[in-house]
Amino acid sequence: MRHVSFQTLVDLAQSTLNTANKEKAQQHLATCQRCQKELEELRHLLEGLQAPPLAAPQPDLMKRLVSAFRRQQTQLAQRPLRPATLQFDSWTKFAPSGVRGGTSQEHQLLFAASLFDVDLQIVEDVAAPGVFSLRGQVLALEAEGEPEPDNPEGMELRLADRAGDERRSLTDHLGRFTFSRLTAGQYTLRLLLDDHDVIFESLEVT
Amino acid sequence: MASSKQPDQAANANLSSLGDAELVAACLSGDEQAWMILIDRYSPLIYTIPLRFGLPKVIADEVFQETCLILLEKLDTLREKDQISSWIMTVARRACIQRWRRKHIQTVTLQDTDPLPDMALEEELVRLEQQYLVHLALAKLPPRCQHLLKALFFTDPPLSYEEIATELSVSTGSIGPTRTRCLEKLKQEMGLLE
Repeated sequence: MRHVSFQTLVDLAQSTLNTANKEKAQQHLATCQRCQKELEELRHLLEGLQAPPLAAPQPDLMKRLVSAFRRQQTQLAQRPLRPATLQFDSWTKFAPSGVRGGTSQEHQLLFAASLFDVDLQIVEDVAAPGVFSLRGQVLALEAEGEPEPDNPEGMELRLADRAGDERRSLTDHLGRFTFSRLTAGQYTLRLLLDDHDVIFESLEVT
Repeated sequence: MASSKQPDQAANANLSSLGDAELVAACLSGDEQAWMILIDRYSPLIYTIPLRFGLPKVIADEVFQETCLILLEKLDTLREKDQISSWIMTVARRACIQRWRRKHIQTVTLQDTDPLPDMALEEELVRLEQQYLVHLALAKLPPRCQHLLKALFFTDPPLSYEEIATELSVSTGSIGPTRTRCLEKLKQEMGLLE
């Protein structure tokens, strides 16, 4: 049995066969599984060729990932944990009088984490009550007379909920990061530095 | 005198022709270019998945970032994989579902009211991956084949053989047979990928 040539299959898939050849090919295909499979694979191929190009992410995201790769090369595989120290909490600003500081929709926290300060904001989504975002910024401590601190770009952060589900994010060139679409609850945030991790325990998202 | 860009371009061209497993190995040995090429190779696919889930662009950025970070961490486990596209799709999907479910939370009942994405979306994602693999295979063909196949299939409305022949500076009669040869090469390249 002579199978249908690849050339003919292409013409068949593209509808560029004349009627006589088309009928001949279809007759063979009716009983030949091998050629049917080839035609099917060819159709997938052509479908792929005709598919429109996909959107690509912006270059600054790629840049951050390159920074993350570089950091990983110098990071220790096992890093000890150090707790971050809470320096300021907008909800306890007016603790003595029992009145919450800040807006009810925004909760700001400032932590000291070894060589960095970390500014956190927990914001409830106005359009979707019960859904929150955690936004932050890692700020390198500047000391007078010292050289400019290292670029905080590409630092990894991991946010875990009580169930252990983990999200990851990266700092941009200004040290900022975001975790969106969070439900209320208690979270632990981890900042991965070269030789140790900083842990922010019991973050209440509410 | 050779410009400083040329060695990079040559190195990049060599890296681009590597399969996923070899590229992963290069990343693990600390090759930053290899990492750039690896995420470049799959970034449109990773980025499109959250968009297909209907997530906004800002969330798509997060999903993309998270997927790549997990990839970076798990590179060591991917050494043996000829092709990481399925692994990537699984990670990206999981990240999307985590965020997709949280679209409409009722503060009163604290319950997820959104069902899981349906079968149609699952099928669409499978198709997306397969189409993307064709795109990757195409990028590995010789430039002339790439130009021809793109001219034949990529343009809408499709160009005639005469128009293509003029564009590529070849005879009209050669288009048909060259098309077949290029598609065969593409098929071979796909066979290597799967």
